[in-house]
Amino acid sequence: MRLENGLRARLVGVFGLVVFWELLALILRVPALPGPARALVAFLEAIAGGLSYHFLISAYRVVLSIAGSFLLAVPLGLFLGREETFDRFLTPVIYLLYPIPKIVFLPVVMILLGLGDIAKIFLISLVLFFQILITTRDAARGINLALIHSVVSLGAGKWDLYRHVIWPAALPEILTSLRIASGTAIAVLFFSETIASQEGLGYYLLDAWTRYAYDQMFAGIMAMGFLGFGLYLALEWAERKLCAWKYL
Amino acid sequence: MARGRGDQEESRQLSRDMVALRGLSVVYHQKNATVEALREVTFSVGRGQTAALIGPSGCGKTTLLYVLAGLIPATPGEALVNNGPASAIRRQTALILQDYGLLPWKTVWQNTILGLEIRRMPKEQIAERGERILRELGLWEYRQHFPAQLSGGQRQRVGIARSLALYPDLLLMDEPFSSLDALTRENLQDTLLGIWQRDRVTILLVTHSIEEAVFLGQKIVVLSPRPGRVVAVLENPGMGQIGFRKDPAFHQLSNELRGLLGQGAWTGPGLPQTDLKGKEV
Repeated sequence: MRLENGLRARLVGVFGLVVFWELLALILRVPALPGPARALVAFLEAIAGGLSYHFLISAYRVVLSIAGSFLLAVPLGLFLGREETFDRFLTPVIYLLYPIPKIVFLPVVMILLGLGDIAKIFLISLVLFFQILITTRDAARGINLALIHSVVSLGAGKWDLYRHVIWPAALPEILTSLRIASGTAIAVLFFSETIASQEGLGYYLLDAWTRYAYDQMFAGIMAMGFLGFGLYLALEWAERKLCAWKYL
Repeated sequence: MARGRGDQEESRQLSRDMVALRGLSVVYHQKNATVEALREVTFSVGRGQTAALIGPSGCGKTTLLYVLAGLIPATPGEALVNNGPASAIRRQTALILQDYGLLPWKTVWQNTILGLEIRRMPKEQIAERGERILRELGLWEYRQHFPAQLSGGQRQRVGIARSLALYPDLLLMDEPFSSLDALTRENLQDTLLGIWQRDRVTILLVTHSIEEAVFLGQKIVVLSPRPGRVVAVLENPGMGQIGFRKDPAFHQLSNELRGLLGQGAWTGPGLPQTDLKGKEV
């Protein structure tokens, strides 16, 4: 029942977006904004062409970046949230680095890591790392002390606390930060793929743009939208699976 | 058998008390102020006995349990559990907090066996003990539920189940039934009494309910408002008798306790009597 309703609501939402797009295209009547029907045709054609390859490359880069930043930021965030002493040393460092647009490091990263996947994945991970780190730390910090006391009184050591209390308590917020991060990841991905790149959705888009192939460009835009939507669905699924207690 | 007796003799020489507090004071240091929670508290609870600790809110009752659970150091003064200093490492001490301390992300089953899991007990043993205790407390059907799906009384049962799974010899309970409706509360009080009568686990129960103190405490320790000091220790020999709630002795002691809590018992320094008003019954 609930799932069906959710699906219906989603379809209605997507339909509304398509209608809005169609109207905007009708009003503006510029080649740079083809209507949804033309874009969809171009998208289907492009899928048969090279688009699916570029899509997979981009998806691979984004997923790996999210996984990498998750694996680094979450343990560190949980630790800093619970260990005030270390947090005091690292907080100024984090807040000094956090506001810097990491994209400015792209030249350095490219010199060090080359022009391939690794440089792009590193750059995206760097951006996501701070977002996930700060959310995770704050979530770990705000855990109800009574829960910790009650589990300590059962004989729990530090590791038990992380495993049974701190990690599961912070998980919903960590997954929220991942969802936000997935949007950021695609934005950074686009940028990194437009520079010295031969593959990926960013390259595909920019290439179509420079050729004034607007239909193709919109096929690329749609692909990017689908990539983000796919990530969102995956993370939502994970949240329902891992935080079942939140959805009672 | 003879040997067991010898051991018993030896422990008797030490002390028969499960819990012994001597001159325990606790002062909290907060940002700009120091709060004196307990002042020179002295009392004891015998092995296998039950005691109820009663007093107005904020009299340091919870602090006292934390000290006995080893979560707050006992200085100055002395807090002994089974003749040794109170310690969080002591495995036979179980603490049940006011909001039951259940983890919302774990099911009834996972919450119940948490202590066993933490103690790295073998899997088969965990399964066997967990099932027995959940069945005993009438929770077996609810083992897949999350705490949020349970009533208050059921949640408290899970809290008790989780503690009993560890086979404790000392049960520390902080206002365990205070948020429950009257019927559920009496029901759980009966359950707890049954457990005590069978296992003779030492129980120290903090409460602000006069009836609860009289129903469950063989010994009733009355504390003053902050800083908490022992005002009176009442013996309650009738506790545990069948139908004790309807017994004249029950009501007599309740009234005596009501008197102690209500008027003039507080001779502490500069403590206005209005502190208690509205809170007394």
